[in-house]
Amino acid sequence: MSERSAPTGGRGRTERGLGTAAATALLLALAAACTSYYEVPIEVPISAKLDVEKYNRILIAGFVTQTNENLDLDAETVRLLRNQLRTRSKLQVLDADIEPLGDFSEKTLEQSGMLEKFKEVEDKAKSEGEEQISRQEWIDLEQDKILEDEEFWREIGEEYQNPLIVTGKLAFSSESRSGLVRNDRYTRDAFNRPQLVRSNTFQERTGYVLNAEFYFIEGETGRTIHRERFTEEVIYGRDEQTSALSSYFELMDRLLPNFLSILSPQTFRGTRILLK
Amino acid sequence: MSSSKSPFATTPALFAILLACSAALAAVGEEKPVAQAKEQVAFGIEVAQLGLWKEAIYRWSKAVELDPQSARARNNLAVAHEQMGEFDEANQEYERALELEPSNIYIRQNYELFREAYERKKRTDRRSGSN
Repeated sequence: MSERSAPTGGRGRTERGLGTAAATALLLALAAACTSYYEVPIEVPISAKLDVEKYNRILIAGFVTQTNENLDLDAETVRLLRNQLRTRSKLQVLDADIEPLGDFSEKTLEQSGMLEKFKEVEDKAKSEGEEQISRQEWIDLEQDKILEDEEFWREIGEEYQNPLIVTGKLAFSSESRSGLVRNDRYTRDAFNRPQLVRSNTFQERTGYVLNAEFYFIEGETGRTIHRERFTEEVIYGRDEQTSALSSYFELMDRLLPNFLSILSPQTFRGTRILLK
Repeated sequence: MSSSKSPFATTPALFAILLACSAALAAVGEEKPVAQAKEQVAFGIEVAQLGLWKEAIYRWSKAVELDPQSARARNNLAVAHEQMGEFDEANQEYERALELEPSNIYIRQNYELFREAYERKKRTDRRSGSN
């Protein structure tokens, strides 16, 4: 914590002569001398959203995933969350290998015959004059069936002595974000005054999007007690050669504080200024 | 010729003196709470530096009571509320402080930093409400 005298707000630039400038400077110096300020560190407590007191253990049970990128979204996320929770929460993190919940990538959907199944459903709906749903809506419903199966989660809970179970949906994709990008820059005119110059330029860019919906399930009952959705996006220029895996980690780094704030209290640290 | 003075001859002068005295007293009366508020502000800083934020809140609240126009007291009170996680109160005090001294760069800086944390908290609260 430190006491400082305030800096002068600006310099007295005037054409009226040195006398006025000196007087202005003196006034500012006097004003600054009268203002003392103290920089203090603060820690802002943010309580956890879930009361996890009654759970001693936590099980990251894997995720239903949807990505066409070259990465194992389920395995990477399970590993990352386990490591983070081990160091940043009081809960005992269980090491357990659970069967993958479901891969909804294009390739797997095709190989498993799910796409054909969807086509059948679509045709049936068409012939019966029912309202049709999009493929993504259908995938969401299929994923919900897995995640909301209380019986299944109760069995898992029983097997691991009723921990708090974390599961959910993960979708990771790359999308073109090419387009006109606004460039604002400041220049100085003939009178040395700053001027804002606006221009639009076309840029080829790629965006990586991570959609995550976490389900927190009570192992004892199999019931979902909390659900939270996050979306993060990162955009890279054409010259930036960034792999899908690196982008995924970047997005998870952004998302993690919010995920952890569900389970454990967080502290925002910063400094503020007290005025005398 | 008698040189007897009218008893009212001195009245204007006396009246002027009395008026001046009452004006001075009124000025002192006005300044006293302001001076007391400044004392409370200074004392609040001392206790805040020791980490006694609850007492700091008490001191700065008192300063605001004594001098509601003190932007400094309100700024400090806002910082203390922020430290205690009382975001709505902090927001209110920062806004009042900025109304009183809109060009104070320190208050503005504090407020901008606070808004970041406040917006984040509101976002997370909204998210948790979507359960």
